Amino acid sequence: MLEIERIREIVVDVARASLGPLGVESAVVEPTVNADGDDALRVMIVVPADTVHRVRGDALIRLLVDLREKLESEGERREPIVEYATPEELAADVDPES
Amino acid sequence: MSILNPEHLLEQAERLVVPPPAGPPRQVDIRRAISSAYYSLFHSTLIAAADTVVGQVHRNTARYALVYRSIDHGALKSTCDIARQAQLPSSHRLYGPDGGFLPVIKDFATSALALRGRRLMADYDPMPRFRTADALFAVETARTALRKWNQAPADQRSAFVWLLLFRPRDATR
Repeated sequence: MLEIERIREIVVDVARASLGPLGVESAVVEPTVNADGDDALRVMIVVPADTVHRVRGDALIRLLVDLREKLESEGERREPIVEYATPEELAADVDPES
Repeated sequence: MSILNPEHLLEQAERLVVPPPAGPPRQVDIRRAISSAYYSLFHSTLIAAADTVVGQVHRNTARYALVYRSIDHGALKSTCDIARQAQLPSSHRLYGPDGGFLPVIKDFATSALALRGRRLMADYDPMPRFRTADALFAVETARTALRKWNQAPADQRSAFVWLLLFRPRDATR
């Protein structure tokens, strides 16, 4: 099981390789439990708003494949659950219902 | 029987996350879009399975529906877990394609697993907040995964489907 900071470094490296150096602003990783009750990793990748409509599916899939392979190659078996947000969306997270 | 078109699920998902006149799309719409992205891949495998076993020309039969409904989400997860591995486990090697699954199928499997994780959260977990970027990327991921699935050689899709329908037993049991 890798340290969270090492996982975050891997996420940023893999995401930048897949989405481009300007396609990633930051990443947040935290331990969680998946719907099956197993330990998992919540991975949030923050992307610039102007890239949201430009990112292609091939790059997103490459990111998913490479991230799992890199984590597994370093002995990390927890499932990464990858989500995305823009800085603007994170700043607007105020209303818990709407 | 009215076969669901997986591509229509993605079009529905995109409609759900079109920004309203003010503010972001509703949480229920973003969650539904993410769920639909996963379901487009799930249903594509159900169609492939029933087409393989019963036949496309028999889509209006009860037998077709029987096969279609026999596959659950757990079976798809297990098959994707197997298919994305660099080497098939010995229990599956005999039934898999010669040389294992190609990258197009592995990419499909990895995408389905990733979208499954998000779909379970979107459908059942009240805690996380979902965002438009997340839904748009889920749709884009699913659309590309569907393209890869459809472009995969027939023997690769067929091997995936047989392993989806039938789980090899351990020879010692």
